[in-house]
Amino acid sequence: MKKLLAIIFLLAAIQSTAQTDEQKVLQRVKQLNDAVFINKDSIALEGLLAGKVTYGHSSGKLENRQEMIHAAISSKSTYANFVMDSTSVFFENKTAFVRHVLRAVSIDKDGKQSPLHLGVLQVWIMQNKQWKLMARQSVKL
Amino acid sequence: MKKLLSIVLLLNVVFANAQTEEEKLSVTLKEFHQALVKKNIVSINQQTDKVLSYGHSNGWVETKQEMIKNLETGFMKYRSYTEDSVQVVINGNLANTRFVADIEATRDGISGNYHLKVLEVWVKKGKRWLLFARQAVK
Repeated sequence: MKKLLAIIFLLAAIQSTAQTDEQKVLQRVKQLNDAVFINKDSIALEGLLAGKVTYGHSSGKLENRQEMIHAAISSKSTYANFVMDSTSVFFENKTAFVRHVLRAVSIDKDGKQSPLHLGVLQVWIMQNKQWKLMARQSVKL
Repeated sequence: MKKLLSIVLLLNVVFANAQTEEEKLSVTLKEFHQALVKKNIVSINQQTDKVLSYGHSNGWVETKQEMIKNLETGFMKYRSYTEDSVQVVINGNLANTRFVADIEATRDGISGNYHLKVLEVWVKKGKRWLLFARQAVK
């Protein structure tokens, strides 16, 4: 009976750690979306992006860390009705692979609205006890 | 003088090894793409992880099982696959690769030539690099 209890506790502990890791990664994903699409926050981005990050847009444009931060904070577009769904996360060692779908309305500097509908693949790595974005590629849906 | 020579030789070896890992992966990457063309399921099986997530430029995402099934049934056919501007960044056992691909493929009987920008993420397990995730964009 004690053994069974111990196993149950162990399983519960394992499961709660797994959840925590996934929650932690998804929190970073949300922070990144907020920093890019809502706050245009360069300090947040500095903390979220790995040094060697490669950031690919659905247009095919590819940016390094510096280019990505510059483009994100100087973008004149704003976004409304931001929704993230179909999220999946899997882990391999200290790497997390995240897929999700983004929907929003993008509003350019002249007020012109256009729908944004993207599939996104992100790769996060553990660096200094924090999840950092190592690679991202989006595609139009 | 002898010491200096051995240091130079040692550095050469270290440098050569460092190059080899990235070169090795770009060879593996090209072999994998040719395995798609040759429909070599054994190689594809060996070169991809079981959790593979393979994203196409139209937003379609295949799992490993789906990818293999779609090749076996002929739903997906790769007629040719060439890479250009291959860039490999290795970080421990994780490698991010980016390249431009020119692919001739047939999906469900519809043929097309695709000029794509591709992200492939490979992870080293034991002595082997395995493809974990891929996303292409036009």
